[in-house]
Amino acid sequence: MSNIECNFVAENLSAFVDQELDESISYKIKKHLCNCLDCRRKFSKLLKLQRIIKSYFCGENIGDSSMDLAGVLASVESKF
Amino acid sequence: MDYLRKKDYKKMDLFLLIEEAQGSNQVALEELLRRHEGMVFSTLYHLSANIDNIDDLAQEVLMRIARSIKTLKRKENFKLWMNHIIYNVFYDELRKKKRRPQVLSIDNFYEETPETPQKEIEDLRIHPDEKMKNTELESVIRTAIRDLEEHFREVVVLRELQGLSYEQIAKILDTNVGTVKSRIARARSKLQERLKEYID
Repeated sequence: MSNIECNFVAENLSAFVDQELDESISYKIKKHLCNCLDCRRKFSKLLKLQRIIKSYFCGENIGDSSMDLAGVLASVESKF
Repeated sequence: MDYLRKKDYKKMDLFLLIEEAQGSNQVALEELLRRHEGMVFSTLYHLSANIDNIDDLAQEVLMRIARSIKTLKRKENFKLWMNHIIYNVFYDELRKKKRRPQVLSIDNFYEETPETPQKEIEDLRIHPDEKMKNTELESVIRTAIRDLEEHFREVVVLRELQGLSYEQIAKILDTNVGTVKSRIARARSKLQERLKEYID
């Protein structure tokens, strides 16, 4: 695989994972990933990172039901 | 919708709930806030590296939501609108903190620059409501996110926690999509480096 192509993929891989690229660029990257083992490894690491960060955020319940909502509403009502 | 009971609001579709809250229905407003308080708290918690009054800030966000829900024009923009409020409250607080005189403490014993790792004693306090399992990986991820520079941390939180699109993040941060794209990519590469042993 050419370095130019690999550099292009590396620059856009994160946005590719987020599906934030134009269809034509996504297609180009998909095609490259099929043929380039190095980039495929980078892609799989990025997916893994995204998965653990997302599950870290999703697994949290911090702040759940900790707020005094009645207090918030009462305070808003008293001001307006 | 006076005939509805409180539990009916719990199952109510978000757009309908917003509509009701905009129509001065207090039960609907309370349910709307209840549904989002965890996300508000969590976002503030992750945006901040060292802000200790997150409870107060979260209350302020919820109060602003309650106070200005009627000004929200498009219900489908609620999440974006809420994040604008979170972001404004958070950065107002950050600006205030920066104006406050620094108190010399053991945490300031070392001179910190963006390049040097943080030398401060790790904050081991756990929020009373924190129900998260304190596994080693979670702790490592938390530290890795907190150690990111502010402009990297905020895009990670808005993208991975809030699930916002690049365009929405750009609107909140008042920047362009290209900047968001490169910040997310660079933030991820920093996180990859720090979490190397868990993803290799």
